[in-house]
Amino acid sequence: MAEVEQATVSVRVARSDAGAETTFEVERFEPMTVLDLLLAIQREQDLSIAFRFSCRVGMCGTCTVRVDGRAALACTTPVERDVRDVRLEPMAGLPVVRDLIVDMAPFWDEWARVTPYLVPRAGLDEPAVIEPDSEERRRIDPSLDCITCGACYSSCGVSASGRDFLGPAALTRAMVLVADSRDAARDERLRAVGQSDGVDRCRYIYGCSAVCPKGLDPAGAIRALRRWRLGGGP
Amino acid sequence: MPAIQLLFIAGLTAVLAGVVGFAAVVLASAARSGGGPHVTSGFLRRFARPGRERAELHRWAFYLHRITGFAIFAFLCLHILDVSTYALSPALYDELHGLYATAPMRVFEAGLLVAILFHTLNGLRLVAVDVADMGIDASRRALVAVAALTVVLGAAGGAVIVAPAFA
Repeated sequence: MAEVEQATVSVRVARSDAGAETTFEVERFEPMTVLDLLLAIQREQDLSIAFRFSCRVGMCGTCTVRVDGRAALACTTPVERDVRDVRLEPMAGLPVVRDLIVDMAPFWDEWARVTPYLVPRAGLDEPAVIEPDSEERRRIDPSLDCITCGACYSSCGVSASGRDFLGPAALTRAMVLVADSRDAARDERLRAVGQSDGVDRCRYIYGCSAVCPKGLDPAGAIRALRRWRLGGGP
Repeated sequence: MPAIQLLFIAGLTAVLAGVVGFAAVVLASAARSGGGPHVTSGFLRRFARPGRERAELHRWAFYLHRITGFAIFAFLCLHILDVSTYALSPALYDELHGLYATAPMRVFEAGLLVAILFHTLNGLRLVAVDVADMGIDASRRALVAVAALTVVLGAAGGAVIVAPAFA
């Protein structure tokens, strides 16, 4: 069936001010992204609408919102030709500061708990290299591109419902560092992810892997950590 | 109707009300979280595409797993009480368990079978995700198999359970 191009898009935006307008008709153009919708609303209809963005090219992870219930980067999510209406909400599981802006502190608190940086082992040659064709590199590389946008956190049924859980992003970061033979904090991280709010709290909803704008697989990282914490590592 | 049967029906009504209440809590919590139970045109459009978009099935399986788990547990509590009547009096037990042969109870039992089948099979799928390191696509295929098995076995078993009431 041929797509029918709509002249306007009806955008419903979750607003934190009860009296603020929530529905906007935006003239469409091609190609159009969700961020274009928000910018058009702000320029032409309501200056007070609040949202974050920065790089506009899916690199900075700043503009994450829920589009029709699903976390996505506003700047890389297209508004397709046949779309009549779009519903925009702030990320789930994080306190709303205003409209589509959330306080990322809970996300960063979890991130910090896995010691998200390399702790160099003593006695390494400089520069310590992981060979490009090694098994270790193959394990690490697919999970390195996290831009900490929080889409996985928002789409996780456990994190987003306010349960204590390290969350998919922090666990993916932990997996990368646990797999890294140059790192000295492996045992400490495996202990952190093995606690009651660690990997066992994942229910394999796969929301994280489904929405990651960089195509990462946090659910796969969690499965790997579940195996490794029993055997002490990869 | 004997008092023991009335008491059982009151207990069963409480169980069903609890299940409905629990389902409402799960769905209300889901509405606040990412994905959520939002069946919008955008959701349906994404869902029509193959691949990662259909991972939302896992989310709905999670909700259903919790609801069926609560339903099974709640009925199990009632069932422990009703079979315990045998310790008091075998005649009381027979009187109470006469209810299980009635058509409404048989329909309820068929529903319970479907809940047990889904909860069990989905639980095995979750174990398999870890044991066989199943990724998003493999897990989704397994979930489709769980749903199909639940429907087929539930329909077959339900027919066996319900048929005597209409014979």
